[in-house]
Amino acid sequence: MITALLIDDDKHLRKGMKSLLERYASEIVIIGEAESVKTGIVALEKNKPQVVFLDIHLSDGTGFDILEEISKTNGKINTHIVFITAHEQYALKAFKFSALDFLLKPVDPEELQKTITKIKEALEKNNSFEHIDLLLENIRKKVDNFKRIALSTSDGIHLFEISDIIRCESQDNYTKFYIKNHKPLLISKTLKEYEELLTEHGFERIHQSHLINLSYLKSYIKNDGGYVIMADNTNIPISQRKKERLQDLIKSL
Amino acid sequence: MLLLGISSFSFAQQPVIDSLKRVLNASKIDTSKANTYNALANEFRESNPDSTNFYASKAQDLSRKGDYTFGIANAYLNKGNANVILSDYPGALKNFHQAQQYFEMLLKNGSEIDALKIKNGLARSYGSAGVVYSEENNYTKALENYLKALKIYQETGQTTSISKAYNNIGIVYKSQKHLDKALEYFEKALRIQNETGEQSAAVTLTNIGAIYFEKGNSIKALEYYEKAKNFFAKIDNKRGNALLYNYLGDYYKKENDVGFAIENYNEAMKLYQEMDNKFGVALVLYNMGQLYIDNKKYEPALAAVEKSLALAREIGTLDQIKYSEKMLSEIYTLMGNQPKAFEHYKQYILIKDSLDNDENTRKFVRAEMNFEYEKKAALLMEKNKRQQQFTLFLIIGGLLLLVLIFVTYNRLQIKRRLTLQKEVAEYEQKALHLQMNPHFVFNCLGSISSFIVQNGTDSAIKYLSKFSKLMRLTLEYSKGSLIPIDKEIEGLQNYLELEQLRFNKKFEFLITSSQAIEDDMALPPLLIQPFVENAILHGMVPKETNGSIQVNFDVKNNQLVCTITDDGIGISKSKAIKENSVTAHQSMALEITKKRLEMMEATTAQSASVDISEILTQTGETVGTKVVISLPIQYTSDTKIRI
Repeated sequence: MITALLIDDDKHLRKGMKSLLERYASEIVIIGEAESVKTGIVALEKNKPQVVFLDIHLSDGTGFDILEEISKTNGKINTHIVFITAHEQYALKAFKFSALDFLLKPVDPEELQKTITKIKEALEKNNSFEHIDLLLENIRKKVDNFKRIALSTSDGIHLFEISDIIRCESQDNYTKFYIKNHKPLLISKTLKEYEELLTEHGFERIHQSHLINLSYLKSYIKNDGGYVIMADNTNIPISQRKKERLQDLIKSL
Repeated sequence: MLLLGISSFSFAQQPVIDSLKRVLNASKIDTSKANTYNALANEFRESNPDSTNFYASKAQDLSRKGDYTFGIANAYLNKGNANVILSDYPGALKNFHQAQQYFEMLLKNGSEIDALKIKNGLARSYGSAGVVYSEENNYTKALENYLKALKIYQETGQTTSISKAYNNIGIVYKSQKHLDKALEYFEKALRIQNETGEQSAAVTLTNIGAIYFEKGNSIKALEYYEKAKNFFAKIDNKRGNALLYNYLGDYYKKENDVGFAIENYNEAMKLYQEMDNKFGVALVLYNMGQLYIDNKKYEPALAAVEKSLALAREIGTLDQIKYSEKMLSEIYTLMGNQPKAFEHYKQYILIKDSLDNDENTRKFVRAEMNFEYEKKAALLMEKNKRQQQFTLFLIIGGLLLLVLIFVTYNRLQIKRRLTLQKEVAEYEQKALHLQMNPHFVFNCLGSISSFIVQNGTDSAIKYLSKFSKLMRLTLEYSKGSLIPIDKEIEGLQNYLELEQLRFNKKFEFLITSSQAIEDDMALPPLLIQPFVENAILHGMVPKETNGSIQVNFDVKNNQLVCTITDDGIGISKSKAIKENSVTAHQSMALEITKKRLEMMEATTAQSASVDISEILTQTGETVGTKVVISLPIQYTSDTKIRI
């Protein structure tokens, strides 16, 4: 049994979500509901749920406002958060950087089940909630100014300075992260997803399987079809069509 | 001031004269005889003016008898030349004038004689008249005639004569003390003479030497005189040679080398006497007189100057008379013979007064000449200026035109680009409407509603989430010009699943992509969907049994190729059915897609195409439809689409 709090300003949507959870995730027990920032904070303080299903758009603010308030009074947040969003594009990127769970309206039962599974795993492992702080940090900033990224692995969520990531390598549907002073990490997301997140932070996809942080590029070798040597002394091939772009980028560095 | 202009003539050669005489004996026709007489006269003109006169008269008589105008004209020319040598200037001018009239008559009326010959004859008569005017100190007239001659020679391309004209113009300028201008013309003449190897170069060299002498550059003067002397040694030009000796005499006089001076004056005198040129003799005698005075040898000075005066009086050169009278007065003064001195001084004043009157007119003429020349120069400058202005206008005009063309072209380009962008946007909009086909949207909603009514909540929720995913993708990517290929596949997947649910599993589908497809490839949004929709609506739906649809993405020939195959009823059958219905949807989809592909070709400069065909069995039966869409390979980084 997992205790949950449901915060949404639409009464019907709360009802629908409740039936959906009953139908597809019967282990979730709704122990409280709220419809605004104000009532949400109170309900959260009072009920101390394990999970909060949190709508972004509320009548007197946003779901982030609740988290800000809790984090201010308690110092930190120790509840799993699942955001529910209709079309808030700006938030999606912050969620992705923070490895935070989110559901899109109308909620797809399959995705709901996947999310519940992840939460159960996290509860078992007693994960930290640092990534929620990262989310709040990132929500306050502009997208291209994000400093850190949360990487979710089988043994928990890890936060890293984006500038510490040397490179990423695609391994089928997984991505292997090579990080400064850290062992490589295998993340269950595609390289393409990270390419979308990191190109604004000085990363470049120089090959079908490689995304590199340009600040760790040591040298560019034109021979043997062209490759780069990274700061960790690995040689990374460059695909034919990326050469020109890479040369331009190196020039502009 | 005594000024002497000389014209440069070529010299006579004995062999030439002999051969001409032989021709004369052989000629039976009067015209050719006249020509030969004239040629003979011309050959003698420098060395023997009497012979020239003799032969010219003979030519004239013959020509008159034969009414041979060209011969008459040439005879007048030759007679005039003889007059020049004999210092009979009025006679010379009369003859040259006659020659000019005859030549001009010939030119005007036309004749069997070569126009070039006539023109050259005319030019010669002008040139010679110029020489006479020059010797008469009438420089305006001289210059006028020389320029006329020069113009004709330039027309006929007679380089030798052009150089002569330059030389003579130089002489006029020299006489007017325009030494630099004179030098300029002499050098022009010399350049041509050196090129053509003309013997008249000797005369030009003499003249250049004289200019340097007048400029006070003795070294240069002597240098040129020496050059001229060497030249004259090789040729026979008594007149020119005599002048050179006279100039050399002047040079040594100035250098106080009396011996050499006298020697040279004597040489000059000898030559002038040989030619019976009284003007020249008078000049040399006067110069010698000056030399004797400078050296206090009054007796020989008196003898020389008195001789000079007598000759000057004989030929009536007032300038020479004036100078000689003045010098005689000086000599008598120096000798202490006051009455004689006074007598000559009176004579001097007398002649001077009459000359001053002349001089006044001449001054006036000179002023007029200067005015004329300034006017001409101004006109020329004006013309140049106008030409420069014209060129400037032309350049500015050209530049303006270029700018105009550039601006127009640019504007057109911008307009074209804007139009293209507008069209692209317009057709993207249309494509969006295609996908957001109200029919499809409301059918979907209707399906959801019926699921709920029939208590199929599960199906309703699944259906709804797929629908919302499709809507999300459509809304998100229809704004951009490219959609990442994985998103396109996701969209198609959702769409096909929706239709599958809607048509109650009437068909199966499979979306595949080859290894060659990279995950950051992209294509225009909403391009594929209408063809899939066609496959369902016109291939699957009318089909009696269940069917299947395959969508495949691949890279072929450097193009992104999407192939949609179905085992439906085929297009021809579908069209037959459609004729009985009112849907215009399919044709619109194809039309819009074709337009979009055209614009894609325009923006990427690569080919894009769509090909629709029926799949036939070996027996020719239709077993489905195949749509092949070939697109340029584009990448998400091309437009930097980011979520």
